[in-house]
Amino acid sequence: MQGTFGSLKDKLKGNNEFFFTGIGGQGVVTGSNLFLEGLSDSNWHITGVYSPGAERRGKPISCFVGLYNNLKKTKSYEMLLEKDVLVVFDPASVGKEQLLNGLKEDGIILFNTPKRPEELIEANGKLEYFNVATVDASGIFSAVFTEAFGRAPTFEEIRPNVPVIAALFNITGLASLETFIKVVTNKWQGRIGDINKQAAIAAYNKALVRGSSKKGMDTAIAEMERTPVDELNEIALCFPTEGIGGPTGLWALIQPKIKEELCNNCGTCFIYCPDNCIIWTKGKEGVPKIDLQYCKGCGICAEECKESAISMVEVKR
Amino acid sequence: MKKILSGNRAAAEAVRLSKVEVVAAYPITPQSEIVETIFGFIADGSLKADFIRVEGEHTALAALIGAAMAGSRTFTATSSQGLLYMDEMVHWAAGQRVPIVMVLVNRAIGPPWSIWSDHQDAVSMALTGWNIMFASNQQDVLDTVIQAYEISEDSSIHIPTMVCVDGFNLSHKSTRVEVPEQAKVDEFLTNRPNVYLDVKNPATFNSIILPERSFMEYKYKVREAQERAKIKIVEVAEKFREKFGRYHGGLINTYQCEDADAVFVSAGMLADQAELAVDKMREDGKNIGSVKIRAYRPFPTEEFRELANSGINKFLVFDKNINFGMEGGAMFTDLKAALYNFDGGSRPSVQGVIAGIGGRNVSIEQQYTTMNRFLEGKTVEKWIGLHR
Repeated sequence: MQGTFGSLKDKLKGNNEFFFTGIGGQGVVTGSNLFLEGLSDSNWHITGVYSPGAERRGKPISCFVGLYNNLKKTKSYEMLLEKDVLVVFDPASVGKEQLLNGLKEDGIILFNTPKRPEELIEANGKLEYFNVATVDASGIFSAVFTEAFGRAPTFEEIRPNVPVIAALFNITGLASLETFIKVVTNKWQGRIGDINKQAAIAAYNKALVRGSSKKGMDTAIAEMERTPVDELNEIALCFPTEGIGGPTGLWALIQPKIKEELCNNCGTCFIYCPDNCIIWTKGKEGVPKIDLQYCKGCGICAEECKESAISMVEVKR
Repeated sequence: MKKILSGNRAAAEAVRLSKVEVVAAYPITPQSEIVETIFGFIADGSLKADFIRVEGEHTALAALIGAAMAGSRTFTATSSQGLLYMDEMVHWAAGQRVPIVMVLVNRAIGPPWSIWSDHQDAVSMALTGWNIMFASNQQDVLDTVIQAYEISEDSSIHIPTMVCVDGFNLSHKSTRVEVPEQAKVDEFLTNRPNVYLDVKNPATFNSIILPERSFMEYKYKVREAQERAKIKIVEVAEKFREKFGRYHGGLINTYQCEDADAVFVSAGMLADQAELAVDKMREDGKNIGSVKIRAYRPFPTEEFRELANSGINKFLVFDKNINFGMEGGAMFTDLKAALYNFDGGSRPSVQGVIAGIGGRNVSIEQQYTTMNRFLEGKTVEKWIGLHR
């Protein structure tokens, strides 16, 4: 079956838990709040919570929204592990298989991507077990932005949240376009309000939907790494390592570059680096090396270098 | 009017409705959203208050002590390490008898570093002379902050009040909250802070006092004021119920305790969640209830004794804090103390568990299982969710 413009309304049951994921700067928290606002006059008992993690641009961020038909459910403060609906704000995360962990059978996924559902299913057969929807939210936002400002937005200026939520409201049938526009223009006035309103209108019924075609998927919740208490040191020692957000170097917009001809190998950068990302040994020939995998691009090394041998250069991805 | 508010935003709305006049605070996660929202209210003119930007929490509270001495209604918010940095002034504010209201968005105390929630920061303030109250949902946050002004500003009390909000799980969780009308809040808040500063009659406040003069007497007065707060907190909660039709408890709130043999005891969000565990046990035919500690200071000693006298003979305390060097957590220790020296009924069995440290998830299932083991007389795991 080809993906079609359409609705997944009948998939929402008594209690529904939505999981929104993206990276800091894409408006995931604002998006989940707009979603809640759009539901404020509905009969659902609603909750929304977000975990900001490291609280910075570029860092993975997730929000949970609960729609319940039982008020008592709002009294639960348990960590949500399972989800009925998964909303992926970051086009770069589309292929990440671990996002599917905990997604319930016959669950809904909405991806922000220019691709059609079939293309995603072709790349990952597991998606056949779910209802897959796609909307080119970033593309829609960029087009509206370009129209308004006469130039294309930079990577950081792209805010896919409003078009993503507009599409989500449409496919779930949870709120009308009129309701959502009211929410958007209540949140932002003037030019920003106009742009987001245009983005909402453009995206509302643009999601392509393809229903699940297989049953019986084992969507096990990923086991978290747990070190038994007796195996831990007496204090917590930290070294640069890959955390749940991936290697921290992924957050960097700029990273240091050493001009070898200016560097006198004094080791000042090594002392000042707050993240242990400069590799230097006293007395060893050459220049220090930078661990770009974990360097977050704070620029302290460049600031402190007495020889001005370090410049911060844009990270190309 | 219903609004979708997080615990933090509910606190800020309460500050706006209480027409606070001076706010001083320093940002710290997970509290920052409260003062950011208040700053927004000041910027858009919906709250006419002075916001004093300070270089740290110690100064934030010191500035408010001055403002409160001049008779202003004051507010600050902090968390964890920020509260500890404020510590000297926390004691001072109680001794100086100023009715400051502070929202403490509970966060674990490092090391290791954590921004997630437990109650270690709150219980470490137990000996300061502040009223320490816990809210267990977003509506409770809004309503209790308003009540806190009415409690603290009563001239017979005049000690500061701390309203605790579990970090993230409650502070960052949004749901529908009823925001009362301004006129009704104006009618509800009948007190004003005492004015101590008088430029026509300059005085030094709380200067050094020799041991044989009256230091001890002034401390005794703080203690007496907090004893009176036990009654005042209950009265204000009743007055609030009459005015707004909502009730979150006096010093405690009880759920299904009338015919209960055993109860969960907890503070903050865990108390709300315990109701779900109670429902589950009631379905099994077990007479279980839940007691929410709404006021940790003053401690609801009399209320717990009454519950013990009413036939509850098993208390299971879920502490989100660690009482180092003692068994269990601080609330468990306090509850045992409250139930030790009392006339009448037989001394009940009290068990305490430590849970949710550093934001560790506490599930309804864990609450349910622990209570069942306690009822069956089996050994109860003292550290819920510890990785063994």
